[in-house]
Amino acid sequence: MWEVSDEALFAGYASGDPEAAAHFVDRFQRRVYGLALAIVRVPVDAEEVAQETFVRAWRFAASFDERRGSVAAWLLGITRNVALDSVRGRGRRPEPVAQASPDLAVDPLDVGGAIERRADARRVAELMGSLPEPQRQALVAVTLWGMTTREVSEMAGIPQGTVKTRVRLALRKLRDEMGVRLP
Amino acid sequence: MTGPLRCSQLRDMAPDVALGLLTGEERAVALAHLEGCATCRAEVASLAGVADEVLLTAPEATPLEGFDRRVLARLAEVRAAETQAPAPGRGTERAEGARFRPRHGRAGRRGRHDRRRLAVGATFAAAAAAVVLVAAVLVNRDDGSGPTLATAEMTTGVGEVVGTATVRGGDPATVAVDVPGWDDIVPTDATYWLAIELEDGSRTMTHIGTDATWWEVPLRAPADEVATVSVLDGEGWVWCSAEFPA
Repeated sequence: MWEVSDEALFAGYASGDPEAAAHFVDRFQRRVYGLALAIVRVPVDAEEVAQETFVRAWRFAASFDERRGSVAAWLLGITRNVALDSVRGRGRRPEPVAQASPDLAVDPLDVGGAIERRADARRVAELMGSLPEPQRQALVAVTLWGMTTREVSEMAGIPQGTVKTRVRLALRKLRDEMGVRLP
Repeated sequence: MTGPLRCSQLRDMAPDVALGLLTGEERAVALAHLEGCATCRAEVASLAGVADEVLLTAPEATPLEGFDRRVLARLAEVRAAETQAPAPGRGTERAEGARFRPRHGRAGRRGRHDRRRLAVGATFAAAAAAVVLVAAVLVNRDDGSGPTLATAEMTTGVGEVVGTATVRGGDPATVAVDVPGWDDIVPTDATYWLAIELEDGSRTMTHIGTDATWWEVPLRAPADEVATVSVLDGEGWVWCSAEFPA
């Protein structure tokens, strides 16, 4: 019964249906928690971020527009925002743990082989793979690892302006490749 | 940066806006422009959509056991609070057979005026033995902790005092909790949390062990914003808590 689309399941979640809610959380908890942990780097804080994400997804369900993106992308966007708020609220965060290293020499797209299991992620990963390496690394650092351009600059030993330029170019190039149209 | 932005300037900054990389005045100026410019809003929205797509490639990780139950319990509370209706019975009763019963319902973000005390006949018993001071969760008790600013009793659902919670000044300010006998009554393989709820309803949780009776954790907010300090089990049930007057 629960082999339904993400969008249909989200509709049930938004309506307050308890069974749909349980399946929705079960379906997305590893992705939400994984991104939260990558950014805040502290399991207890990542749990709080992940919980808050699911609460906000319910509270702001009406703002989801499937014409502008998938449920997964929307939910992970909320996760990133909540996680960044958490990091900024603390002013600093611990050094990255080994498994979540934002070291720019490491390709986080290979973590856990999870991408292979997710069709939506495969497509985006392929497009990101076509970006010039420095642009892709900068984009990954500020999105998946929640780093500021200043942090990336210090870690990579390059000017902050260069990091910003790489991120801008990467984002625009991806948009062109994805064929995203202006709403 | 001074004065209003032109569209060409905003276009240059659009990726930074979409990724939330701007702060302070830059962000304020950008938002002021976006408020009155639908074209630039659309540009930023499309880039933000791309950034969200990138997040699909984020690594997965397995949260602590019981995460789904805790999320669903919190959702139930939020829904109940926002509809001004009583919390649903589902998920608010603990299975019988536990050695001790918690003092009241699951923890959540409630306003101070809405904190209910559901006395459920807690049998939490304070041990007579002296408190054993153990290593702190994040702060060492003998490291020159700041002055005591406020102290409140940790009580069960039937009002039995089982310990104390103390807010201390310093940099950072801390919350220290003493629950004598805690290590005698809880199973050693269980998960427990120290929850600190602030006046604005936000809450931080710190994992605590079952082999100690005292913990102290740093605050991430001014000391006078602490509203409630609670000890929760892995399912989010409150075992005892202390409230600090506003």
